[in-house]
Amino acid sequence: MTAIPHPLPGVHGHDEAHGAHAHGHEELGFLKKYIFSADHKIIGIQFLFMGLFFMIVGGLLAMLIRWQLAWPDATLTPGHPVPILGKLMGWSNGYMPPDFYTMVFSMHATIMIFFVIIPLLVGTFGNYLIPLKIGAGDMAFPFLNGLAFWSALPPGSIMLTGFMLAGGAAAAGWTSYPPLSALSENAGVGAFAANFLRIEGSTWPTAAVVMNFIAMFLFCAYMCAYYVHLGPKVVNVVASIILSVLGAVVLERGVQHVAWDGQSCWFLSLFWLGFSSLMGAVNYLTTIIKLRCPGMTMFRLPLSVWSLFITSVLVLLATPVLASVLMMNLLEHQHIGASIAGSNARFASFFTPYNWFDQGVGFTGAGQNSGGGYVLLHQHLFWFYSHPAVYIMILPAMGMVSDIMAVFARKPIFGYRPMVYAMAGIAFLGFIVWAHHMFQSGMNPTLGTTFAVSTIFIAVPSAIKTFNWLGTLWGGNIRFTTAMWNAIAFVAMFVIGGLSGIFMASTAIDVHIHDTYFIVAHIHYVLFGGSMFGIWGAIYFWYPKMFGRMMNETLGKIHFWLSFIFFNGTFFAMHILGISGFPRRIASYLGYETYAHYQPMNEFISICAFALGLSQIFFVINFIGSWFFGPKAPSNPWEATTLEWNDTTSPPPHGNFAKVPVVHHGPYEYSNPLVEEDWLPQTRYVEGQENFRPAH
Amino acid sequence: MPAVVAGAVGVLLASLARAADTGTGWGEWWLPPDRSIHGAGIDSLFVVTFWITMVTFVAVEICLVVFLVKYRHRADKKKAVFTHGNTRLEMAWTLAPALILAGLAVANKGAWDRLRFNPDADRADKATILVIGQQFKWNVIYPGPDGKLGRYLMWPKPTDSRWPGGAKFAGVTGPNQLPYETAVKQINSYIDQVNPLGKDFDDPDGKDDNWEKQPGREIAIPAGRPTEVQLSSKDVIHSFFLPNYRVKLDAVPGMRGRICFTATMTSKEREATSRKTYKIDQLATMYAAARTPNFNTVITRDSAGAVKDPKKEEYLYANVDEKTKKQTTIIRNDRPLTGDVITKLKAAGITEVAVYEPGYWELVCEELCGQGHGGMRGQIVVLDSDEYNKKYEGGRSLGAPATQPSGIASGGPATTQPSRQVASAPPRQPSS
Amino acid sequence: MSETILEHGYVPEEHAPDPVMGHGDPTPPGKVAIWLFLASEVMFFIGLLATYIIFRSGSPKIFAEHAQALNKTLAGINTLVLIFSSLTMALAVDAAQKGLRGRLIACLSLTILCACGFMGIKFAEYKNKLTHHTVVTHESGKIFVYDGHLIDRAADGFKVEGFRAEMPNDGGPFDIHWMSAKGVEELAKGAAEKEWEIKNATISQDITYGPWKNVFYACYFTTTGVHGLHVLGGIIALSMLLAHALRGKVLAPHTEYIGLYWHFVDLVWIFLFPLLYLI
Repeated sequence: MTAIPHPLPGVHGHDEAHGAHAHGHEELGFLKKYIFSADHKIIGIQFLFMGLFFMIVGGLLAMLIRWQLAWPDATLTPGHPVPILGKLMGWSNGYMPPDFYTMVFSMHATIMIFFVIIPLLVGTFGNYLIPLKIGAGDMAFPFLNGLAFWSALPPGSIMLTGFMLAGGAAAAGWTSYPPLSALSENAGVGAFAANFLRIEGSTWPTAAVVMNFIAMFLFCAYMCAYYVHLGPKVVNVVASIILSVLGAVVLERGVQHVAWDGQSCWFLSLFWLGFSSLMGAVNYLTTIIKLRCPGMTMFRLPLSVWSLFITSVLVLLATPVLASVLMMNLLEHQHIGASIAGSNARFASFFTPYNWFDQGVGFTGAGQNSGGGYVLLHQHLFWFYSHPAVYIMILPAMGMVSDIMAVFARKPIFGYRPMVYAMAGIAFLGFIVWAHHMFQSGMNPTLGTTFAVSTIFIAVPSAIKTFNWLGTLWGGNIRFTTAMWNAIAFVAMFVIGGLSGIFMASTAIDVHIHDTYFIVAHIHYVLFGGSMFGIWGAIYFWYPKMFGRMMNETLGKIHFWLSFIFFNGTFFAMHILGISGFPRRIASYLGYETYAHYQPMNEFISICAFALGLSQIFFVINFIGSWFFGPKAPSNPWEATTLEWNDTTSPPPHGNFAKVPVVHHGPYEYSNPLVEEDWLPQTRYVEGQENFRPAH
Repeated sequence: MPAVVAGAVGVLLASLARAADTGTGWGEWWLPPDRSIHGAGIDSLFVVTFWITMVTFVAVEICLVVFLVKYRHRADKKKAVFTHGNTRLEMAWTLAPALILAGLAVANKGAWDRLRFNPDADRADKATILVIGQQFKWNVIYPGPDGKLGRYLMWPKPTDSRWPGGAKFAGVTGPNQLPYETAVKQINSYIDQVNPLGKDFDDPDGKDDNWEKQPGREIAIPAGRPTEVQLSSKDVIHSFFLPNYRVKLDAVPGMRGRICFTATMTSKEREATSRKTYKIDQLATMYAAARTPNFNTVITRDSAGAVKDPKKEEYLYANVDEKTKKQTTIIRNDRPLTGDVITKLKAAGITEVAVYEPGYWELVCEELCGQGHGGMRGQIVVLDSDEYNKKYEGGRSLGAPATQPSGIASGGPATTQPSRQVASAPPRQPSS
Repeated sequence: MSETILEHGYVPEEHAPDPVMGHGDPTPPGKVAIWLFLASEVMFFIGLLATYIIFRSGSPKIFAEHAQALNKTLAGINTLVLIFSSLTMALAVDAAQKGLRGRLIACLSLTILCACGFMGIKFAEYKNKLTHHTVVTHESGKIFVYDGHLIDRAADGFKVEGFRAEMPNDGGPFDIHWMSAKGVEELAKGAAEKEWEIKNATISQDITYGPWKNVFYACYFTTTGVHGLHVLGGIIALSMLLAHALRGKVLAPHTEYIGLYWHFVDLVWIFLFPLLYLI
C-alpha cells in the first residue's frame, strides 16, 4: 500500500474517493486495472502496443514503396509485378498504378510520424519513465493520462478509414500541400444507405463503420469508467455501456459529416490526435515540475526526463498551430450546398487562390472557390509545427540514449549540463527554422538567407551532444548489451543524418537537392537510424522493468546487426541518388534519361529494405517469447543508478515506490571511487560524500 | 528456404554490381553536369560542404570505433574513468563547429544571391518566358516580338457578361446568361476547348505572344545570355527543376515566380561535343549495362555500310535482301539507338556507328502534383542567341529594353533597325 | 539553509527535508497545468490570428470594406457582456476561496448568464450574415447585383431587402465574392433600400455572407466561431462548477482554474473585437 502524500486535497482530476492517496480502499477491477487503467505504466505499455501495431502497417507500406521503385513498370524486363496485391486489386499486368503509389508513400510517412514514432517515444517512454525516474507514484493527472491514450484510438481508426473509402486514403504527401490536398478528386462516390451509424450520403463502408464504432466506444467507455457513479457496480457498468454506445453513435455520425474522403479523414484524424498529444504534454510538464521527490533537483534529473521535459514544451507550443492549419484545411475541404451558401461552394478558401480552377469530379459546380487564398500560408503554418515535430521525434531518443550509454559505459555522461543546454538550444532553435522546408517554395528569397542561418546553427548543439556521447565512451568500461549496441548505432547514424542536414541548410545547395532522395536519405538516417534505433535500445533496456522478464540477448544482437547492416544498405545509396537530383514521390522514373539507369541501385535498395523488414521477425519473436518464457527479471539487472532500478521491483507495483525516495546524487554516478561497486544509486547516501570533490 | 535466401543474396549482389557499373566510371554517382553560369558557385559550395562533412564523418566514426574497442570491458577492469566532463573541451567543440558553420552560411549567401537576386535579371538582352505548370504537363509562353507577356490564368466567372475575347460560346455571349450550375460546366468546357491557359484576349501585350493550346512542347531558351523563367500554375503546386542547370523553383498557383539563369551550352554544341564513333561491340555492351546511353545516330554518305534512301537525300542502315534487292530499314540518320537496333546492325554486318547525345536537357516536376507527377517531364532546348532572337523574339534589338507602341501586329522585325548585327555562325553540320 | 541542502543533496537521511512534493513551491499541480494549457491555447489562436494578419496585409482595402458589414453595436455589447462576466468570474473565485457558497452560486450563475447572452448575440450575428445575400442576375439583357437580407422565399424565387445596382454589360471585372453591401450601395448611387423580388430563373450566382463569401469572412467566421466554441466549453465547465456548488461542494482550486480559462477567453475576444470589427 502506497502512501504518497499530495500537496493539496481535491487537486486530482477525479473524485476524492478514488484519489491516489486512497489506494488501499477498493480493489480495482480487471477493467480498471489492465484496460481502462490510469496507471502510467499500463498506459505506457498501451501506447507501446499501439505504436508497434502501426509500425507493422507503416512498414508494410514501406515495402510496397520499395517494390514499386525497384520494378516500376512493365517496360522493365525482367520485371516483377506486385505479388498478392497485384491480383487482389486487379491491376492491369499486376503493376501498381501511380495514384495507388502516391497514396502508399503519403500514408507510410503519416503513419510512421504520427502513429509510430511520436506515440512510441513520447507516449510510451514519456509515460513509463517520468514518474519512476522522478520518484513519483504516478503522473500528476492519472485520469487525463489514460484519456490521452484512449483519445488516440479514434484518430487511428479514422486514419485507417481513409484506406477503406472509394478513392483511397490521402494521397497528397504527408505534408498535404494545398491546392493538391484541396482537390475534390476523391469525391465520395458510392454513398451507402443510411442507418443509425451512417448519415445520409455516407461514404463509409461497413468495415470502417465498425472499426470507428469500436474505437469511439472505447474512448467513451474510459471516461464512463471513471465518472459514472450511480450506485452498485452492475448499474454503473450498464449505464456506462449505454452512455458509451450513445457517445460513439454521436461521434461516428458527426465525424462522417466532415470526413467523407481520404484527405478529410487525414485532416480530422491528425486534428483529433493533437488533443491527445496536448494532454500528454500538460501532464508530463506538470509532473516533472511538481512531483519530483525530495532531493531530485532539476539538475539531478536523468537526461531522458530532461529530454521528455523539453519535448513536452515543443509539443505544447507547436501542436496547436498544426491544429489551426488542419482545421482550416478541413473546413476548406467541405462543400456547402446552395441552400445555405446560395450556390455550391467550398466552406472557405484559405489556401486556394483567386485564379485557381478545380474541375471537381463528382461535385460539378462545387469546384468554385471564393478566391483570395494564399497557398504558401499552409506551408508556413504546417512547418511551424512540423519542424519542432522532428525534434519531438529525436529529443526523447537522445535522452534515452544518454541514459543507456552511461549505464553500459559505466561512466557518468560527459558534460551533463551542456547536454541539457544543448537540448534546450535545439528546441529553441527548432522554432525559428521552419521555412528551411520552403526554400524553393516561391517565398521571399530573403527568407532563404535568414532561415539558412538559423538552420545551419542548429548543427552546433547536435554536435555538442555527439561529442559528449563520444566523451562518455572515452575511458569507459563498456558492456556490449543489445541496448548498448542500439544506442551506439543511434550516435553513429545520427551523425550521418545530421551531417547530410548541413547540405540542405545551405539554400543554394538545396536548390539542387530539395525534393530529391538526398532528403529521403537524411530523413531516414535521423528518424530510423536515430529515433528507431533509439526506440529499440529503449525497449531492450526497459523491457525487464516493464514486463518483469529478460529479453534474449542473442536474438537481440541478431536483430540489431541485421537491422543495422540492411538499414545502411537501404538508405546510404539514397544519398547518391539524391545528388543526381533523383526526384521524390515519383512512381516511375524510367521515362527520364537522367534517372532511368538508376534502376539497379533502386533494386539493390529495395532488396536491402525487404531484408530489413524480414529482420524484424527476430524482434517480434524476442518480444513475445520473452514475455512468456523469458527469465524473471531482478529489479536491477543492468546495475543502473536511477530510481526505477533501485527503489522498486520489476515491474513496479501500482504506486511505484514503497516509500518516498530521497535523492542524494545525480543520475550517472557510475565508477564513483567512493564506493566499491562501479555504480552508486541516486538514493544511496554515502558517509562523507559531502567532502568528496571529484577531479572534474 | 535456403534457396530463397541464396537467391535473394544473388539478386542483391548482382544489382549492387550493376548499380556500380556506371559505364563512364563514377561519374553517375556525383552531380549531373552543370550547364549554367551560377551553377559553378553552387557546385563549389557543394564540394566544400562535402569535404567538411566527409572529414567530420570519418573522424567521428573512427573515433567511435576506436573508443568501442579500446574501452571495452575486460575481466580485470573494475571501473571506468570517473569524470563528469571538461569545460574547456566543451567550449572548443562548441566554437569550432560554430565557426565552420558560420563560414558555410556566409558562402551560402553568396551562391544563393547569385541565383535568386541575380544581377543578370536587369540586363536588357534577357529572354523572358512564362512557364505554366498544369496536371501533368508544362506550358510555355513566349512574349513574342514586343518582349512583353500578356495576362494569363484569368478564368471566366459565372457572373461575367462576356467570354474573354468577346467570342460566343455555348450559344451565349457570357456565362452569366446561364443558370449557375450550367455556367460552371460551360466555363469548364470553355477552358478545355478554347482557352486552357486563361489568356486575356483583350490585352494588347499578349496579342503577339507565342502560346499553344496543347501543353507539353519543348521549351527553348538562348545560350550566352540570361533567361528569366516566370513560373505559375494552373491548378496545384508544381516545381520547375532542371537537373543540369541548378535551377529549381516551385510553380505556385496564384503566384508569379521568377528565376533567372544563363545557359552556357547550346543543344547543337551538346550534340557536337558528344559526337563519337563506337565499335558495334562497345555499343552492345553499353546498352546492356546499367547505364543505358541516350544516343542518336549519325549516318552519312561516308559511313561504312550506309545505303542511300531511294526517295530522299538521306543515308541509313538497312538490310538488303540478296535476291529482291529490297531494303528494309534498320535505322535512319538522327534517330535514337536502342539495344534491339544494335543487335540488328551487328547481324547486318555493320562494324561501327557514329553517335551523339540528343541536344536537350530534361525538365522534371519536383513537387508532388497528383498521380501523374512522375510523368510530368519536359525538355529544354538551347538555341544560339541569334537563332533564338530570330525565332522567338521576332528579331528585335537586344541592345535596348523592349519597347512596343501598342497596336502593332504580331510578327515582323521591330521598326528600329538593330545597330549591332550579331553575326550568326554557320549552322554546324555533322562532319561528313 | 534547507535550500542549500537540497541543492547539494549531500545530507544524511535523518536530516532529510520533509517529504513534501514540489520542493517547497506551494503552487498546486492543477494551477501549473491550467497555465500550460492556456499557453497552448495562445499558440492555437496565434495560428488563426497569423492567418488573419497575413490575409489582411495582402488585401487591406477588401478587409476594411467588408468589415463594415459587421454589426459593431452588437459586438460592442458582446464585449461589455464578456468583460462583465470576467468580473463576476473573479468574484466567484474570490467567493470560492472564502468558502461562501451562496455568493459563489450567484456569481457563477451570473457568469453563465452572461456567457449565454454572448452566445445568443453571436447567434443573432451569424444568422444575420447567413440570410444576407449578394445576388447577380441577368434580366432582359441587363445585369443587376442585389445585396440585401432575405425576407421571404417562394418556389420560384425570393425577396430581399437591400440595394440594387446595375452593372455594366461589357464584361468588366467584378466578382460576387468581393461585392460588399457598401459597394453595391455606392454603385446604386444613393438609391434607398427597397424590397426586391428575384426569380430563380434569372440568377447567375447567389451567395450568402458565410465563410465562403470571401477570405475576410473566412477569417471572421473561423476566429469568432472557434472563440465561440471556447465560450461554450467555458459554459459547460462553469455549469459543472455550479452543479457542484448547488450540491454543497465548493471547489476553490477548480474555480480558480476555470476562472483563469475564462479570463483568457475574454482576453481573446478583446483582441478579436477591434481586429475584426473596428479597424
